[in-house]
Amino acid sequence: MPVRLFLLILAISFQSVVIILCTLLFRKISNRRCNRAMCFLWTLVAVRLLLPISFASHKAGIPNPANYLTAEYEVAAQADRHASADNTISNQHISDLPIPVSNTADFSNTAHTPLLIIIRTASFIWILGVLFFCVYNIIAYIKLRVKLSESISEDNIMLCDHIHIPFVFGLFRPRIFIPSNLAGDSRRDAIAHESVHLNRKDNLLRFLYICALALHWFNPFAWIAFRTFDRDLELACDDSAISSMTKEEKDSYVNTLLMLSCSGNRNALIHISSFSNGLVRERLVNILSPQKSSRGAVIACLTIGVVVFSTSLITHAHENVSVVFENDTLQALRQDYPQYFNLPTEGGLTVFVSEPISGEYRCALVAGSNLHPANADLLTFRNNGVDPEAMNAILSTYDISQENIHIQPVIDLLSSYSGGLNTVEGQTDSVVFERLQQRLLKD
Amino acid sequence: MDQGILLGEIEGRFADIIWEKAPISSSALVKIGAAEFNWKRTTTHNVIRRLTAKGLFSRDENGIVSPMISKEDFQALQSRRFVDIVFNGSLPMFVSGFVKNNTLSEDDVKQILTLLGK
Repeated sequence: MPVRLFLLILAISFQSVVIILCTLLFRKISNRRCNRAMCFLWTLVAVRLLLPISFASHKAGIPNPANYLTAEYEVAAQADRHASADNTISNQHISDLPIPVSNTADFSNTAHTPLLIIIRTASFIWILGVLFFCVYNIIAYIKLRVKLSESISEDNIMLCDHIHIPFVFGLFRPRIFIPSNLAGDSRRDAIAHESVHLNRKDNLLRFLYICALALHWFNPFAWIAFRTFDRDLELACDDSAISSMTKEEKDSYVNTLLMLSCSGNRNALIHISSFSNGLVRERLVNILSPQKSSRGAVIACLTIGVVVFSTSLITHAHENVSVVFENDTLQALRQDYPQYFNLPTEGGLTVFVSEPISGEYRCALVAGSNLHPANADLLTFRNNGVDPEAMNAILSTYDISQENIHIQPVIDLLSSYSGGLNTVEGQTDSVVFERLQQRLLKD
Repeated sequence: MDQGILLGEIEGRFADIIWEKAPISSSALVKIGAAEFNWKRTTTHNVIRRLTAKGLFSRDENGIVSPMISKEDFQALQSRRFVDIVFNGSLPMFVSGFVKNNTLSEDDVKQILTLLGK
């Protein structure tokens, strides 16, 4: 469902803001001392943006507005489903059930509906944005590819008339493209720079970022991260390119850099590695007055990166919604048995269990404790009971301690089976009950 | 045409091939493009089309490409244009540039005098 996907991406986007800000802060502090390690940090950011995993914890983690939205959406969606569902037997029985229902679980509450509309519209707009982004970039890629097809290979370098700056192009078979009118020393310098990009497979990193931006196009921090990553990539590349250059060669390199920065950056696609971007000044400063790279800075960088990245995976769970990324079973249960989810827990929860056939249990969940078994509508069980394992999963979505969950066996008078829960005297076999309790409550 | 035409290095190389082998069919040129430069059919056709549009060659209805201007004339045009742009059309200034920086050899002088005599 696109809405769930959107909410997931939204959650990841919020979490990423923290990691991006931390990375930017560290970048400021380290001040070009560990450019290559910074690129590793930015890679972690990209991975964070693309990883559809979010561990929820009730105690730790960064509070995430998206989780609140997800929880509200779940409730609103259930209410919506409930209101629009056919008048099936289950519906009838739900309304017949004499359960004290508090206001928060009042499914006829129409205050949820505007939120539902907003969230659905937002998801729709998000999907449109993703599609537009993809289409635009695919078309741009194809156009550039056509331009670049008119090129000649020379010493493993592609020369082309139609480009003005050198870059690496191609995802699976990346190659260096040089403008045909770049000659002599300038050509040599450009090749030196682009070769570093080629060897480090920077084009793959860029592609990773583009994928991340496709999903997170609405998040300005994602764009900031990409632009800054771009800058650090070029700085690190310069560092490597000039590391074994003589003074004269370095002068030539700087000259080439300046010259190319004037040639106009019309191929401003985000997926090519360009020799000179708008921030040429930063690169010049980096080349002419480089910061001594210290091992300490690199280690600090990597450590901070791993720590911040791991932290960003944990999000603070909103109550009653344990994990943003749910498994399929729970999703299916939510759809089929919405009445067992998001019940109010202040007064405890009661699990009604009946045993229509030997060994087969049917469970229903109701809010409140000290409920008499007679309150349970037997027909409800037969139509809407779930097995203990399913009820276990449902119970796991609640933030409630075990002692507040009451298991109430219900004698199934309609069953021809007696024994287990249905002992003739109306008592429950304690062994059976123990085992049942285990199945319902084990983690 | 009177303004002179800019040719990129790649286009220039291909134009040289056409001048060398003209008149030649476009399909033969496609084969050459593939052999020399690993160009696809469409790429070679694009280049032919552009060179034709610039007025250097023409392609008749049978797909035969022939030159509209000879290579020497074209190069003369380029030089003329270069002098126009850089030396404001003054040929003596252009030559004096050579004289100032390098001494002309005997052969060079002889060649120039012959050309001037022409």
